[in-house]
Amino acid sequence: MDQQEIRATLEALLLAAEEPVAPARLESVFDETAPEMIQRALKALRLEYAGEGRGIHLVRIAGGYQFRTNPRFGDRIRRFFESKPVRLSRAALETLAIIAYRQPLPRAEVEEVRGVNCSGVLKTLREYDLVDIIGQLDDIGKPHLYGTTPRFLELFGLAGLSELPTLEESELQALIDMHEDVEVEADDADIEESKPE
Amino acid sequence: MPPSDDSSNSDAPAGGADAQQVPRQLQLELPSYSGPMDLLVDLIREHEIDIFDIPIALITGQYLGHIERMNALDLQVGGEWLEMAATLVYIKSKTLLPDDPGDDEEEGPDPRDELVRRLIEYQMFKWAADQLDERPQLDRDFFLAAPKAREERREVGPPEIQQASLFDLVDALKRVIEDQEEEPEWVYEITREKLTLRGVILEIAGRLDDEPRLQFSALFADEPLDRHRIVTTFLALLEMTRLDMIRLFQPRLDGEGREALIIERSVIDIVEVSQTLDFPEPEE
Repeated sequence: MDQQEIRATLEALLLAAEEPVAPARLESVFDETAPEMIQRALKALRLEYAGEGRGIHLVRIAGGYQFRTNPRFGDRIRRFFESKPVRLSRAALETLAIIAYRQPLPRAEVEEVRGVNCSGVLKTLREYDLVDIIGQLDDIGKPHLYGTTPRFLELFGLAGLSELPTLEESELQALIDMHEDVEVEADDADIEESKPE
Repeated sequence: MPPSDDSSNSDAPAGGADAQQVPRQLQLELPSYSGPMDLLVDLIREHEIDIFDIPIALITGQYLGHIERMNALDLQVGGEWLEMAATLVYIKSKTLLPDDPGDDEEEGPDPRDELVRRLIEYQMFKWAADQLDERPQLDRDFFLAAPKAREERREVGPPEIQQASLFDLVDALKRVIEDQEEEPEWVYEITREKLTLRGVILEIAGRLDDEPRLQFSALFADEPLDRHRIVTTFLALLEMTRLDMIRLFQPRLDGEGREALIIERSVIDIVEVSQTLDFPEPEE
């Protein structure tokens, strides 16, 4: 199979696929074709489907590849479907953000940050398959540990969690560093840090 | 909202406000906060406060003031709001106590430290949440060609259905009433149900939580029909539409009989949102 043929095959596969397709899965369709050839074709395809001039982009989502429309045309597509986007509420966004950055973590930790009960939001986020229980804490009551799902990456068009902006990028990090310095000084006089049960 | 006739639009917050005879200037519109932390962060920003030197008396006063206003509006002040109030008052009392110079055990850290840490942490995740929200989102900014995506998109609203107007809503109400014509139970107002706007909103939200779309008539299916319920449901739907919690659709298929009005949720955590609604509950 020549490069051109591989590229066209990948193009067809990716259009027909329902979910982001992992490279290994793409490779499995070809016999006797070197993975490097496929990788090269994939790269060429990505270059082809990129840039503001294209209506369709090929992007890396949740560890796989997926065709999706260029976000630039979101308004027009919504107009075409006469639909308004389903929004995530602020509570849902905050909760998602905390889980995305701190996972795996128990509900209590989400609530500690937000200062409010989060069982309702968590239930909804689970129903929408944006977060899930990914383990148990070996502690009293064996609390569930929450984490984000591949669907979360898909929704926000992320190749992986590492693509999220690091918290250091917020100007707040400087504040935290300052605060930790202050705390270190304070800690010398204080051993009360360990939290009560 | 489509047509607003001569009734002024300034008494928007909730139906039933007039009944309470609240003087106009006391009708407060509270911004809705996602929780006590959200309110505190907002207060600190509003007063341009140095987060490492929070004037705890000022903040506590402002915070308690907000809770009082929530109370005045008969909002449900959840335990978490009171917990934060208690924390603030505790910190305030600690800072008010004079340092006993002889007792070096009292020489602890600034009682505000823990609060400062939490505030910064919370603000950071608020920032992260904004970052998420700004990203292109599936079915908002970008779309997929895959069949699965098409199926999901249907939940957002197929093209043959159009957004309903106020008149569609009134029509739908009329139809519900007409359908019930043979039951003259209209007159039993003796045992009037204790319906509140908030209650009905929560009820509708609960049903939309189970399924994203509901037929309008289904709202009245299991309930005895009386004027009070109809009016309250009507107000609830108006309010929920205004707050962008739901959308109303009127299918206009070119037939003679009109299809039922459809209610669709437009936020996924509709129950959560409706629980945090800020509006008064009229007293019986």
